[in-house]
Amino acid sequence: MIEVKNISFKYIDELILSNISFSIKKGDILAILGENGSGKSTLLKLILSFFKPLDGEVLIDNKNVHLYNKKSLAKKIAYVPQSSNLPFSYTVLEVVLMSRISYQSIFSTYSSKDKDIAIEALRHLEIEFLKDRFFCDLSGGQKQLVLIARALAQKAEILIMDEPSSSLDYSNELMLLSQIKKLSKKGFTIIQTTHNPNHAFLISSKTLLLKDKKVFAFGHSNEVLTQKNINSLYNIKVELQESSEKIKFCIPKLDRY
Amino acid sequence: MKAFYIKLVLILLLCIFLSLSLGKYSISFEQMFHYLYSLIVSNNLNESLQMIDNIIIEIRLPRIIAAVLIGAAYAVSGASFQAMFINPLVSPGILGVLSGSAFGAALAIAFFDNWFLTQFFSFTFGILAVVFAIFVTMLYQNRANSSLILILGGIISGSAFSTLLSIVKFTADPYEKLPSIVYWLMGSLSFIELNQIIIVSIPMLLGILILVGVSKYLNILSFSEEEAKSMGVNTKLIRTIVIIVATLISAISVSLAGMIGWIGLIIPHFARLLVGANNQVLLPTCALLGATFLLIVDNFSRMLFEFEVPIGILTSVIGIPIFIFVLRSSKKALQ
Repeated sequence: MIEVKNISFKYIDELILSNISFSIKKGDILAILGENGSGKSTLLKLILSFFKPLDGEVLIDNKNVHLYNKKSLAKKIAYVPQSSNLPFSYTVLEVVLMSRISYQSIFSTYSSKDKDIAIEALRHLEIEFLKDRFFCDLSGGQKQLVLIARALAQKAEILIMDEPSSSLDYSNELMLLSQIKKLSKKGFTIIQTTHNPNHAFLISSKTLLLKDKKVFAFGHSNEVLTQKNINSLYNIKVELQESSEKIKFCIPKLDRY
Repeated sequence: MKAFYIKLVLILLLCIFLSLSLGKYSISFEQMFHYLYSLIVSNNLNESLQMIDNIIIEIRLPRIIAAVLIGAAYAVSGASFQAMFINPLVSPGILGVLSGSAFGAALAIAFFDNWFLTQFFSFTFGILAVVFAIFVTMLYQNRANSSLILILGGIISGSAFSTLLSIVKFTADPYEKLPSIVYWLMGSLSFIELNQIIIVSIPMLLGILILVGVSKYLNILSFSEEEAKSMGVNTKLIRTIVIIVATLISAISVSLAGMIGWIGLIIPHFARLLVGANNQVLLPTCALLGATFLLIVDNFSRMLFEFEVPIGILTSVIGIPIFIFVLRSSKKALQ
């Protein structure tokens, strides 16, 4: 479904990514891990076609993302950014409706059908009760869910999430992870960057490790996220354990500091 | 929503009607109705009505049309820029158009003595100032947040033209030219003529309509460039349209009536209190409120004293307390 082929990318004069290749299938959840500045977000932006690669290509359904027109690409792939502060008071419903823009012509405006789709997306994430609240008044977790609902209303099958749980408290973080898992079971393909290897153990079928501008490892999460790989990815020491439900998790050793 | 627009339109029409009858030569409502009746139905004006016709058509109507158009243009371009720059404290002059226009007008007043040239220079230099701002922006392209760099370009261009304006003022003849420049800068709607306002009303109305037309894209631009792109919006195209159109209608407004501040900043805030942030509703509301506001202020300007108070002064005098009040009630604007 998504195929990244030998991508390299330069920002101004600095090489950010070199010769990145991997591919994922429909329904996969891919976690991208790497240190700060390792190029995780840049890779997401290359997949979203915001940047043109220096070399290589990104294929979605066997077609280069730069060959899609903007509107039809928006119907394939949606972006869930980290929630930001907004100086204007849009209601939640207005925010979700915005994603229907790729279904409008220059002169048309959102129809009642668009509105139904937006409300359906909110219901999907169990946050329909927020629809008339102001987006800027919501908590971090609620904002993130609204942004996911907006991506769902865009009716794209691929969701790209940039550190979706980074600013959330523990319960919101878990709620978000379980929503992401549910979405993948319904056939959505999800790519997310994260700083927490445990997120990859919990929900991700595939994991990509980025180090020194290159793919350090890629494959099934349980095979890629070995003690050795995590240690050398972050230059730390961790220990891997297994929970009673046979889910692996890692615990860092603090004595090193 | 429809009922709300109808209310605003009715208020504006009422203000227009009142403005036609108010003035140094007061025309009673009875005379007004009689005049309108004769004009529209019987198409026959007697001598006393002929004089009323003169006052209304030649003197008051051009002013009223200008106030309505300029008020609407500033308010709509202010609101559009605020959404596009994701910054509620931005006003139509952010890219330097007002400073450029002021310099152009001062230059023409200092060196020529021709009303048409003053307007032409004012309009042209307004556009040039924005072109210069964008040129500065291009030097930094791809290096940083594009909105921020555009604002920086605007500030640089604005300061450059303000300095040029100071130079013109400094060198201008202090007895004849300097007072005219200063007076022009304070703004006035009294020089507007009917045939001229009819011609410029076409691009101004068109510009306002285009900005209202792109309002659904402005909503998305007020999140982030990347989010807008991911939803399939051609952000560059929308930005270009908004900058060109807002600059054009602002430059026309300044060249017609000099510097009239505050409208582009306060009316969008006031409108947001009434209808919320959705630009699809906000922009038409801004147009109607801006038109009504400038019309009312212009009535004060012509009737408050024996002499005419420059309208730029009055919009500030009335605008500042309103702005303080509005900001107090919408804390979010500054968070």
